[in-house]
Amino acid sequence: MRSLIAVMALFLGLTASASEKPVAKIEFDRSTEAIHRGAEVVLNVCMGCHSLRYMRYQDLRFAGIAEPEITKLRGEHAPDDSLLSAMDDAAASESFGRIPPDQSTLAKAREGGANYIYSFVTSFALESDGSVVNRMKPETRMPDVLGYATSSGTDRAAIEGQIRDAAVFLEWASDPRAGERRTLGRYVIAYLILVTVLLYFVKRRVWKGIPS
Amino acid sequence: MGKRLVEWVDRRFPLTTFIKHELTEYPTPRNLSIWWTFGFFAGFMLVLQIVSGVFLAMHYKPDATLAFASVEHIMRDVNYGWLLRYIHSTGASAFFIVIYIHMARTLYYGSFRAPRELMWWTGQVLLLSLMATAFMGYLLPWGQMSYWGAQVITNLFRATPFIGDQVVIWLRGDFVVGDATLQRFFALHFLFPFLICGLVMIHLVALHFVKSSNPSGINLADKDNIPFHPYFTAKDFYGLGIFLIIFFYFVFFHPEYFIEEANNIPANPLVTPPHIVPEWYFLPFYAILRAIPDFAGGVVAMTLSIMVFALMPYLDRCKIPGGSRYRPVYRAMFLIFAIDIVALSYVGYEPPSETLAVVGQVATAIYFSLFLLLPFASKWEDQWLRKRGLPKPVVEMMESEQRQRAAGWR
Repeated sequence: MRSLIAVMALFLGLTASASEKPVAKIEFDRSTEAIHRGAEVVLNVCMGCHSLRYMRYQDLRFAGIAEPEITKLRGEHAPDDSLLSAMDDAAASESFGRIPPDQSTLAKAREGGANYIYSFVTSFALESDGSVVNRMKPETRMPDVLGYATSSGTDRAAIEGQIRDAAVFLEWASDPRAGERRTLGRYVIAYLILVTVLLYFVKRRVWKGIPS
Repeated sequence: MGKRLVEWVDRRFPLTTFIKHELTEYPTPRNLSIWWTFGFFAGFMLVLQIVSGVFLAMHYKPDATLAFASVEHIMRDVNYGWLLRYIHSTGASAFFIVIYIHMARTLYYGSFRAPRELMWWTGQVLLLSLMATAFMGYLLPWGQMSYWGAQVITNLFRATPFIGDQVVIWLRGDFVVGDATLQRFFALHFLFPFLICGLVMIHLVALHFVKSSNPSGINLADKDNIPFHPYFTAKDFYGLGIFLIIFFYFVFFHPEYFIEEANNIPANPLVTPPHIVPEWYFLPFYAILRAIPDFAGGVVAMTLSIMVFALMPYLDRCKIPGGSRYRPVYRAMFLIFAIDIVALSYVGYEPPSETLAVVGQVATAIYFSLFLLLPFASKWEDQWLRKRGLPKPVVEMMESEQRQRAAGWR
């Protein structure tokens, strides 16, 4: 949709003015390993507050994560349990004033997807008055997780790598059937091209017999 | 055996006569271009939407607390549910693209002219029904854009004189869009496609009575007609192949292209999205609504902008056939209209700003001026072209049409 609008803008010689801090364009590693690492980050860290209520533990198999690894990730939970946060809604509302947004559709729900999530989480900055504010979305209630993690002495670059993996995992989780869809799509398009070529020859042959 | 069965049926039902009359002996102008295939595509999209929609309805829950989750259930848990849902959501956009091209062809080639006014008007009713169906269907995923889009559009009925507020409450079944609205929209979204099927039948009966128009814009002599089957069945299915390649490319590789990001957030009556936009196919009309500073005036202008098409057979007073083909003035007006629609769509999509408000108002003015100007421009063009001298084949075609008219339409 965005690119369609951009074409329209070109058509009119108009440009839209940006009002927010732009979403960074990052090269993500989208391998199964990265999604697996991201799953560990999301399940162990993000899910402290956020849920992924439309995801089930067994859905992780669609990402190509092996069965024993899934068993490790789900721990006490049943395979078809939803990925619910450890914090219940009442406690979350009390701590943050609202329920933290569900992450199962998060990457689809934000323009920019994984880029948005990574940019958002890494956009917290110390202001001159000593408060920590998110430059991309100042009104957010989310604390600076990157800041907390680095304050305990962990290397910032390593944490940023984890956030990238988490963003890739959330991108996958918002559309877990994407891999299956693209695979099937290639066959469908190939079949349609074949059929269309045949239909073209049928059409040509039929029209040869046209009465004049 | 087969022959005897057909004979048995034919004595009780006009099967063979029907196939002859509507397909194997139905005369079709041989010069129909690719633009005449879009009616067939529209019929195909209607069937595809009904089939995918019925299967979606088997898993969907029209309940404000369950709707969003049931769509995610379809996307994640139902076998090939993602395929059904993406066919249906992409199908809505594809349907409108097809219908708009179908309408653009009718306008460009002047196919709405006598004797095809009733085809054009049943088409207009079909367009309105399709818009209503699409609008109600868009509420069903119960995302933020669904919810607030429905809130804004139902609110437009507040412009009804005297009983505006009551009409809005009656439509919503509540003071705001809520569970009652969702459930009735689901019921109507399920019903409307079958009404559309009935209307399509009327559209087709009219078509098979007056026969297809064609790029020359004039009724052709018998020798220029060929039977619909096998010539146009072969051509239409070849066209359908190309259409489906493009359609399924979007379904499988860019299915979220036509879905607003905000619609992946569950509806929340307490949080208004910063920028509410309707689906792309409503954008030009939405821009016209916003271009008029007065609320009731905007609603009237928007309604007029859709309904004005019905007047085309009377607004176009040029007697020269062929729509844009032999008419440079009309062709220029069509082109300006097309650019104007694109401009309005852009203005409708972007958040309001002072510059865009002016662009929107100018584009709206151009939109209506073109329709207002048409009766005079077409009359003048008719005289100008005749004075300049029409090409011989056109004169011959007009004379042949006059002879046909004298002999009665058929």
